[in-house]
This record gives sequence, structure tokens and C-alpha cells, in this order.
Amino acid sequence: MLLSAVAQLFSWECLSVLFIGVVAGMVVGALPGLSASMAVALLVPLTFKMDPAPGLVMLTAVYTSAIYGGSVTACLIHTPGTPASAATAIDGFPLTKQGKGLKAVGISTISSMIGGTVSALALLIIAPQLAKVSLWFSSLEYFLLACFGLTIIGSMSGENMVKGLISGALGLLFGTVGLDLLSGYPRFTFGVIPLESGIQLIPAMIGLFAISQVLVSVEGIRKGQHKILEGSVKDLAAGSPWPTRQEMKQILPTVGISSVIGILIGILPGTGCDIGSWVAYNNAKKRSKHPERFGKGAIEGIAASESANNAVTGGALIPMLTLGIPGSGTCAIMLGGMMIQGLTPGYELFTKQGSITYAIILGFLLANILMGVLGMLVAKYAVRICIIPNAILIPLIVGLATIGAFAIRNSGFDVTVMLVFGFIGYFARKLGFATAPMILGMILGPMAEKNWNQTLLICRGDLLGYFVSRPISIVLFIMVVAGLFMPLIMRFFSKKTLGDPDAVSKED
Amino acid sequence: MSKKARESLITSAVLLAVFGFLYAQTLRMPDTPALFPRMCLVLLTALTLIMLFTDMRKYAKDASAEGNIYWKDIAVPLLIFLAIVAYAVLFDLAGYFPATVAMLVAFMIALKVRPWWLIPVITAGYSVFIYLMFVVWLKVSIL
Repeated sequence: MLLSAVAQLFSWECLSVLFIGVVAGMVVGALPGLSASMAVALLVPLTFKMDPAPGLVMLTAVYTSAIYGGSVTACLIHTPGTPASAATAIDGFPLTKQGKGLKAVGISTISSMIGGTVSALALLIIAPQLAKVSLWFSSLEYFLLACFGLTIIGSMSGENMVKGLISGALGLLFGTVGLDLLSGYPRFTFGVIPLESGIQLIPAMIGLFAISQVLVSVEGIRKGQHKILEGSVKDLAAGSPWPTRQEMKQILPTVGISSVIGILIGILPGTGCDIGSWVAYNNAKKRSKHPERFGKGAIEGIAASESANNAVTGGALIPMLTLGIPGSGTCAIMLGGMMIQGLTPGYELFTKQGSITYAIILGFLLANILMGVLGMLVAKYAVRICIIPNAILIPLIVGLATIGAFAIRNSGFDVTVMLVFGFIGYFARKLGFATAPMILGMILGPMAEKNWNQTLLICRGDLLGYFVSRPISIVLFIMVVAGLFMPLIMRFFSKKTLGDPDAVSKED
Repeated sequence: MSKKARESLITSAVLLAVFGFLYAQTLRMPDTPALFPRMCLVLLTALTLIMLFTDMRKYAKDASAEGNIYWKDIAVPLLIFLAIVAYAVLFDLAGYFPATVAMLVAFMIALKVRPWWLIPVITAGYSVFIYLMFVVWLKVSIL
């Protein structure tokens, strides 16, 4: 069966659509506002005329490459191409500003490739066993997972924790705008009909990151900073995108752990690459011996975010193929494409239709490797964007951001959302409020509220009894409490062990 | 009072006013949909007061504490922001390509792109790319 799958994969049709899928995915992912879901949705009709294997190989290739593509613009111009790369921008862009944009792109490429490859291997070897995990999670576990994700806000708040928490809580508040899922009551819509479907995440993210960066860059031009980086093409493209041996040693444990986190998050339906990247980023920061470096160009930060978000892609395919439960929104679209081809998720997919299924999985594996190779090849050219004068970059970013925000739903209202959040983002940055927590709050807030309401309905008043009957909930609860209080406890113990650093400096 | 302390006071006042207004909105909602927004607003109010208290303690008497927002720094970015808003309005009225061509040319002239020939070349190149990417491939209706 595996030989037959390999024979199918290495046909000209399969290999050519694989290459097209990888390239198209990288380009789409890099452009703000265009998501993997959009690219896959648009390509599904094209697959009707193809055989099942090449059609689905192309879709999986676009999926994984689009998630990676967003990291390139996240690192180089602080404009994440997809929400999954927002965490990458936190360390990627500062690294670029230190003149190491090539390194940032290189590390994100290697990490994405490894994360995607590990998840492809998991899909190949242990898909049916891992799929059972997704059945253990109910609304209470999802609620606690969202709470755990929200504890990350403290760690990405930058220098001012309170301002970071305000930013995160604002994100939670923005997430409540729209029709309440349980009662259908409109919240904070002020009679504006488009607001009833809530504030869309992608236009808000484009505004907070890209438009605010445009305004910051305009200020920079007035102060004499005419490019992201001053330097020649020769300087920028000098050096190698490949991590050194020392850097590989530094990031490999992070990449390994983040890949596992990504796979596990991907298996859970409804979670997605953005949640995977934030959870992995937070985990990497907490484990790091130098957490103070995060947010200032820490390569572990880039590695964690990128390996996790690409690992989610493979993880999300696991319940899709084995149980017919899509692990992410993009997988939901792919599931439609799969069923149109006559492939029904479940046991038979791995037996009677095994040669097609394994061709798809092997194609996904190959796509991740090809994505890594192509990414490293184009890195030296991509990084040149940093020396394009801001006077040219600014209008181009404005144009791309606007079309990106508009193209999601063909809605001018989304452009308005982008502008509002651009304004908010600019002043937030001026006043020292981190903007990343706001995005995290907007992602996790609705997930937390919806699952909390569902839990209350399911437990019928006996919340404590329901909670203690579910071991996974107990574990997640402990993780939430640890996530909230561990930084304080660690700080207390390190002060006791090392003495008060202020007292030491005064003595000096 | 230092500039930084005054800035923090104004920021906190604006935020508290907005949160108060939004909380008043939740009073019109039934209990269930109002619960989560009220929790967020109470949390935000508490955090804002903590921020104000901390900043006042740190900066109120420190005359040298510099603020972050000066009119001379933000005037031009705000002007650019208004220009972006005008571009969005023009997009709505005239379509993406006419609005974007006008925006690209205007911005590049205002930001002093040199040599001059780069302006039409970049504008044309960008327009072709967007047309092929969005109109031909992704079938987004922006014409």
C-alpha cells in the first residue's frame, strides 16, 4: 500500500501540483489579510477535475506553506501575513532591526519545516491513536485551555505588566462585540448591522500590526530613519540564513517541544495555528534561562511560534482523516474537498483507500520539506525588503493591508475595522501598551465564554462534581493556576536566593 | 506634575470614561449576555486604576519624566492616517484601482520618493500584481 502511495505521489501530476501548492501557499501566506483558509477555499473547485491524490496533496501543501509564509513579512516588516505568525513578529521584527533579518527568516523557515515534518510523521505513524485524544475534550476542557492561553498575556506584556493586562482585557472586551452566541442578544453593536457578526480578527490584526507600523514608520522618516535597516544589499544578504551549530543547539529543544504542543493543539477541533503558536511561545519563554530576551529578538521565540504553528497543520489533519472532525477552519474546507472526491474519513480511508490516503500524507511530508528548501533559497532575496525606503514601503503596505482587509468578506466595513484598530494600535504603542495581548484576548475570549456557557448547561448546576469527574480538566486547572502564579513565585524565590538586586546596586 | 504623569492621568481618564459608558450599555442587556462584558469592564477599570496609581507614585514628582506623546511627533502620522481614511472612502466610491493609484502616487510624492520615474513604475507594477493575484486568481471583485 505504501509503495502504491509513493508511486502515486511521484507522478508528474502530483509533483507539479505539490510545487505549485507550496509556492502559492507561501505567497498567499505572506500577504496580510489572505489566509490559508481563503487559498484552500479557492483551490477546492480546481481539484474537482483532478484525481483525489494530486488534488488533496495540493490543498495540504497550500495549507502548510501559507502558515509559514506569514512569518516572512512578520519578521521583516512587522506585518504578520496570517494570525498564526503574530507571535513570530514579537521577536522576528526586533531581530530584523538588529540587522539580522536573514537570520530571523532562516530560523523561522527551519522551525516551520521541522514542525511541519514532525507533525506529518505523527500523522503517518500514529494518526488513529492520537485522534482519540480529540474525543476526550469537552466544553470544560476547552474553557480551561482558553484560560491557560490567557495566562500567556502576562508573559507577552513587555516591560509593563499592568498595561499588557489592560491590552489583553481590551481584547477580551472586543471579543464580546456582536450577537451573544447563547441568547442572540446584540452586544455593543450600537445599531451597526455589520457589527452583529463581531469584530473580525484579521482586519483588526492588520490594523494593529500593519497600519500602526505605517504610522510609526512615518514618524521615523521625520526623525531620519528612512529604511527599516540602513545598509547595502551586500550587507543584508551577507551571512547565512542557516542557524549556526550553537544556534541549532539553542533552538532544537524548543522546536521539539513546540512541535509536540502544536500537534496536540492541532488535534483539538476549533483551536487553530494561532493558538498553537501563542501557547508554544509562552511555554518557551517560561522554560528559557533568559526570558528577558523574549520580545527583543530571542531566536527561541521565533522557533517556538513557527514550529508550533506548522505542527498544528499536521495535527489538525489527524482528526479530519480519522474521525471526520476538522481540527481547524482550513481543515473544514479541505474535508469538503475530500468528500467530493469520494474519500470518507474513518477506518476505510487507511485500508481500502489507503494508497490515496498515504499518498496525501507523504505529499504533506514532502511539502514541508520543499517549503523549507524554497524558503531558504529565497530568504536572501526576501530580506531585501528591509532596505526598500520606507517612502515606498509605506504606500505599498497601505495598499496591501486595505485589499487584504477587504478581500476577506468583500466588505468595506472590514476596512473601517482595520483603520480603527490601526489608530488604536498606534497610540497603544506610543503609550507603552503591547498590542499582541489584544489579539490574543480577541482569539481566546469568545472561545472561553462560549465553552463556559456550554459547561454550565451540561453540568446542570453541579459544576464541582462535573469538574472532578474529568481528570483532564483537573490537569488543565493546575496548569492555569501555575501559569498565573508561577512567575510571582519564581520571582519571590529568586529574590530570596540572590538577594534584592536594587539593594546590591545601591551598595555598588 | 511631570509630563508623563499628566499623560497617564489623561489616558486613564479617557479609558475610565469609555469603560463607564460601556458598562452603562450593559445595564440594558439581559443578565446572561451582560455577564462576561461586565467582568471584562470591571477588570479593565481595576487595572486602569492600578496603572494610574502606580504612574502617579512614580512620576508625579519627577519633573524630568518625559512623556511619550508630543504634538510635533504625532502631527504628521495623524495627517497620514487621515489620508489613509480618505483613501478608504475613495476606494468605496471609485473602486480599488483608481483609489490605490491615486494613493500610491500621492504618498510617494509627499514622502519624496526619488528618482521620479520610480513612482509610475512602482504604481504600475503593484497594480498589475494585485490584478493578477486578486482579480484573476482569487476572483475578488474589486473592479
